[in-house]
This record gives sequence, C-alpha cells and structure tokens, in this order.
Amino acid sequence: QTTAMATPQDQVEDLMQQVADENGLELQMEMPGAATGTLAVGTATVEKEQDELTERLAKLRNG
Amino acid sequence: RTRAASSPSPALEQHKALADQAYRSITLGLDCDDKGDRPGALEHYRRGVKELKNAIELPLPTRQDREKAESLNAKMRGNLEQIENRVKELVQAPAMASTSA
Repeated sequence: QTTAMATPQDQVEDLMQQVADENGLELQMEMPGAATGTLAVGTATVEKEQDELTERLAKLRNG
Repeated sequence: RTRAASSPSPALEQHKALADQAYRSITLGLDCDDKGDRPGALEHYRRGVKELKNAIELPLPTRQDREKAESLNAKMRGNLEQIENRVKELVQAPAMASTSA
C-alpha cells in the first residue's frame, strides 16, 4: 500500500482516516467552518428521511 | 470508505448534514401537528423551512457533487413546498384556542 510515491502528508491523512473509520467518525479536514466531530450521515439515510417526511406530509393532507 | 480519496466531498457531507437537520425540525413539527399543537408545529416547521432552504441552496462546487445531490435536492424541494403550504394552512385556520405562540 505504501509506495515510493506516497508523501508523508498522504500517510498522515491515511492514518487519520483509518483512526476515524475505526471509531465511526467523519473527518472534515478541508472544511474549517464545519462543525467538527459531527457524525456523518449516509446518502441513503438522508434520502429515506426525506421520503418519510413526504409520506407524513401526505397523510396530514388526507387525514 | 476506508480511503480519504473515496470519501464524499466535504460539500456533500455538509449538504447531507443540513438535510438531516431539516428532517429533525420537520419531524418535531409533524409530531406537534399530530397532537394538535399548532404553535409548536409552526415553530418547528418554520425552522425546518429555513434549514431545507439552506440545504437546497448550498453551493456545490463540482459537477460530480451536484449530480450526486440532485436526487436529495428534488425530494427536499417537494417537501419544502408541502411544508410551506401546511404553514399557510395552520396560519389561516381559525379555531385557535389562544393567540399564544
């Protein structure tokens, strides 16, 4: 995995990502303004959430 | 997922975080609405509307991100319209027990 092409910066980032993955954390290194330590939300999850809202809103109209 | 390069971009992560935030507010609003708590519903809906707009309007710098965000944005736009209509209904509906908010 580590090759002569890898720079120390890459290795540091890989290690940080590895630690984050092992602990279920999301790294947001490139976004200083973002809340750090925020748990990542999966794309499928947020789409399901919106579907759920659509259903509940529809029920509201029919009920 | 185990490599930084394959992780979603920070902009997309932000997009999902905003969508999730809006979902929470609107869910609280729906819970209030179900219970007949109109002022509570309005408060959460209005916050949810702002949060949905923040998510939908979040600038996504790359075309790849915009394509990935398209499906979620379409759902959020639909829900935004529904909630705005619901807010109007709640505001206009008579029979408020009191004017307290």
